[in-house]
Formats: sequence, C-alpha cells, structure tokens
Amino acid sequence: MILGLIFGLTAILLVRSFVAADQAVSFKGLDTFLKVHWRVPAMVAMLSVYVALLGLAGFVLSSMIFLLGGFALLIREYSKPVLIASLALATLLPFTLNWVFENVLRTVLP
Amino acid sequence: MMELGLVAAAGEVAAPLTLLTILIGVFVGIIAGAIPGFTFTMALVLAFPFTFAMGPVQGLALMIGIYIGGLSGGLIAGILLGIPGTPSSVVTIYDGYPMAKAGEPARALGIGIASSVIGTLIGAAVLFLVGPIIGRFTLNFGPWEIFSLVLFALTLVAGLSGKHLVKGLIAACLGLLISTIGVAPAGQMRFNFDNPQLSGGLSAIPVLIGLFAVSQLLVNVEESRLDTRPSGGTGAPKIRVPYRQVMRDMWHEKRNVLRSSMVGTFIGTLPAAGAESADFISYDRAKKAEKRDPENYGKGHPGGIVASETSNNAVAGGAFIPTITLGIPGDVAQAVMMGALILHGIAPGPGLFERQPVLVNSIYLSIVVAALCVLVVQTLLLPFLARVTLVPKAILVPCILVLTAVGSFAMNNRIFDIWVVVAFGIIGFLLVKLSVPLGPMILGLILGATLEEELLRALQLSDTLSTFVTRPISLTFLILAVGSIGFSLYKAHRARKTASAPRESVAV
Repeated sequence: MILGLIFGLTAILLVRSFVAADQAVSFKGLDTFLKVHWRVPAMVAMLSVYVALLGLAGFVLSSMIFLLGGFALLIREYSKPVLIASLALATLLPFTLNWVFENVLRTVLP
Repeated sequence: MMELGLVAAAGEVAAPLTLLTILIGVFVGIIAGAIPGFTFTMALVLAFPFTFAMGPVQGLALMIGIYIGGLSGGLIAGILLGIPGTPSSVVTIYDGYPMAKAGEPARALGIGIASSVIGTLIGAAVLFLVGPIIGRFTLNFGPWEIFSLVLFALTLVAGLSGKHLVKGLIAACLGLLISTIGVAPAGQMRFNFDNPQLSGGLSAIPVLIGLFAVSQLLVNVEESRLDTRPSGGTGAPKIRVPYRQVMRDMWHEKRNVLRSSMVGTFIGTLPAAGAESADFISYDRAKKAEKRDPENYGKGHPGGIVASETSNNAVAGGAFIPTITLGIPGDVAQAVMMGALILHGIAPGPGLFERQPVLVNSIYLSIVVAALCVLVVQTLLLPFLARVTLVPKAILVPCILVLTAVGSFAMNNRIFDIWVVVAFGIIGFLLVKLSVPLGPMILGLILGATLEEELLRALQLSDTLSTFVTRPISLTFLILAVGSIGFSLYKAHRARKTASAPRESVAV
C-alpha cells in the first residue's frame, strides 16, 4: 500500500510539475545545448566506454586511455607545461591508485 | 559516563595517526573548497572508500577534517578571484573581493580564516552543550516518534531546499522509491527486475557519488567554456597575513562574531537549510546592526567577511546535532558521514550517546582539532593554496572521474556499482538542469529504510494507525510535518502573488 502511495504521489507530482504552466520545462533548446556543449555527452560516452573497458583491459590500462582521452577532449589550449602535466598524470595516477588500493586498502582493482 | 567518554575520546583523537588523518582531511577539504566548481561534498564522497581501512573514530575524523576544511576553503578563491570556491562562500565575496582589490588581500584572507576558526569552535561548543540534552530526550522515542520525525524531516527538506516545493517533494519521493529497491523488510523482492545485482538494493554511496560528484563534474565540463580564471602560470600573489590588524578587526566585530555563529549553528540544525542560507541571514543582520559605517558593507567592510565566514563554519556544529541525536543528516555532507558510521556498524540516532560515548565525544574533539588545523594549514600554506585555485578544470575533471570509478568499485568489488555512478551522474545532471534539488532525494534514499522499518515495527507493536496521533511527541512531529508543507505552500502562493502583481499593474 505504502509503495503504491509513494509511486502514485511521485507520478502525480512529476506530471504536475511538467504540466503546470509556470513551471513548464522547455526542451526546445536541447539542439542548441548539444551543439554548444557537445563535450558533456562526449564525456558521458567516454566514461561509459571506460567502465566497459575496466573489466576487459584492467584498471591501469583503461584509466590511462580514459585520462588521455579526457584531457584531449577538455584541454582547449595546449602549452608545454600543460602537455607534460597531463601526460605525467595519465601515466602516474593509475599506477599510484592501483598501488594504494592494493597495498593500503587491500582492494584488488579489476 | 560522559566524562569517561570524553577522556577516552581525547586519547583516541590525540593518537598521532588520528591527528595526521585530521590534518590530511583538512588539507584535502581546503583544496576541494578552494577550487571553484569542486565541492567538499565531492571530496567527502571520494574519501569514503579510504575509511574502509580505518576504525570508526579515525574514519570519522578524516571526514570531519574534510568537512571543516572544505567549509573554510571556499574563501580563498572568493577573496582572491571573486569566484566562490563553494556556494557557502558567495557572501564572503561581497566584502572580501573589494577589500582584496583595494590592496588588502592578506587582511581579507586573515579575517576570513580567523572567522572560520572561531565560528567552527563556537558551533562545536553548542553541539557539546546541546547534543547530550537532545540525546537524552530522544531515549523516549519509540517507532511511532521516529517514523513521524523522519516524515517531518523529509517535508522540511523538500520545503527548504529549493524554490519549488513540488520539485523538492518529487526529489524526496524519488529517493524513497530508490530506497525500496531490493529485499523488503518482510522478505520479498522488490524492483529488482530479475537482476541479481539489484537484489541487495542500491548502495547509498555509488548513488551519492553519481549525484554529487559526477553530475557536478558534468556541470564543470559544460561550464568549461566560461572558465574566466587566469591561467595557472601567472604566479600567486605574495601573501603575509597582518596578524595584529586581523586581531583588531576581530575584536571590533566581536558581537558580529557571536551573533553570526549562533545564526549559523541554528540554521545548521535545520535539515538541508544549508550554509548559504546562514550566510545571507547573518550578513543581513550584521549590516542592519552596524551603526558606524553600514554603507561600507559590500565595499570591503571587515564585518561582511566576519558574518559570512563565522556563520558558514558554525553550521558544522549545528548540522551534527540532528545527525547524531536523531539520525537525520543536516546536509549532504552529514549524510555521507552517516554512511561512514553505518558502514562501521554504528547507527546514528536515538541512543547513540549511551551506546557510543567515546565516538560521540570524539566528534566534538575532532571538530576542535580540525578548526585548529584549518588555522595552521591556511596560514602556512596560503601562497600554495592561492595557486591551487588556478589549476585547470580540464586536468582535474578526468582525474576525479577516475577516482569516482575506483572509489565506488572498492565498496563491494563490483563494476556494477560504477555503472550506478554513471547512471546517477546523468540523472543528477538532468535534475540540476530541471532545477530539481538533489538534497531531498538523498535524504529520501538514506532515511527510506528507517521510515519503512519503523512504520512496520510500530504496526507490529500496535496494529492501529491512531497510535501515531495519540502519542504526544509523534503527534507533534506530524503537526510540524503538515505545518512545514502548509508554510511552504503559503510561501509559494505569496511568491506567485508578488510576481504577478507587477504584471497586472503593467497590464492596467
């Protein structure tokens, strides 16, 4: 009964929030949003590929690939220090995390 | 018993490893708070897996360190760049940034740091004095009272956390719905869609990481085009805090310090009211109470920084009161800390003071030690912290996403939990875009199981619903729940009326 009540209330409120004129949500700008902020869905896609890769390629390799891809996606102006920092991070961070989790927290990563 | 608990807690907190943990927590919290777009809540959820290898006191000490450091860390970017490091440092900018632009950044930072420390200490003192009284009172609570209290907390959060009551209630109901996934208290399976991974329900931490870390990171990706911060290579300003001047400022603002700390502590006790509300109220009170130069508020008045920073740090002490006495987290950070306690087999709420006196006292002491660490870390590392605010988001976002993945995996050694993080990251991002507050959703998720279990216990002990209204404390909470909904509806009605009034006058 309680579950039904919760579900019913949630459904009513959800519908009401979209139907109410003063609270109407417009998705008209979705195209523009995706054109301007295409990096957001691209990052979600990359994250999904990364999670899928974790089980196949292991934590260290898939994290390196994800980090390099992520930096390539987000860095807009490359300079020598930024390039060095991103390459160093992409290499060192996965190894460091792997070491900390396996040796300090006793958790074996994929 | 409390005195013995305090001595034992002092021994635990004073252990070198715990002190080091608090120091690391404060450092991490300050950095998370200092970088605009990254919140200490994010740091808290990411630090959660690291508490697995710690005892409850040490794990909680790490979380408290991050929490206290994070509340204070936002002032650095706010004062130096005019960009709030955290939402709670928005008001600090009003006077901190003009003072920095007028050539006194070190004085502004010094006032901010001193105010943060004093606010935290006053909040901790109130927690120490009031906590045990409420703790003793809650021993009278049965399942009826706890159910009604949780219901009241959910309605309060839904009403307080956003402009739209309806959206707050939707979020709370969604949280409750998510909490029902898995095995019901009566033993049957619910909403698992024949997926064995869902049989045990969704762990709160991957959901929290998704909603609060990944969604915020996606917002950062979206806003990366608008990143107006100067690049990291420009060098940090040389900053030396003028201690004497700061002490004079603080002495001059002593009434403001006390008033703002009390406002912060009180607001902190209200679930999801947040440090931002405390800041605005304290700032407004301080400006109205200023007799000599109120016109300088907003132009670099020390009182503005004092009001904002004391109140947003005093919130910490207040927020712990409902968490440890009633088992109701005052904010999202408290919800994460509650999760850490539950992971160690400790249930916050009525009876905690009697069952875990050492742990409760270690919370007070950890807050005090963390406040002192804030003073040391922010004073000594100010030039470094000023540089940290300039680290490019493009470098940070992918690194933190890797941390979210590894942190959620470490909970149960399941890749499924990382998928939960991704899914709730997307859901959180969409909800943020639709202006649906995330706080009520988390509270619904965390408190859903308690709500259901206590209702079932109450009905097992007495099979009539009338007991909920015949027991005075339970009835009080139910009336408050109805009252909070009524008040929110009234507020919404008044806001609509005010908004439509000018339109009507234009039409006439």
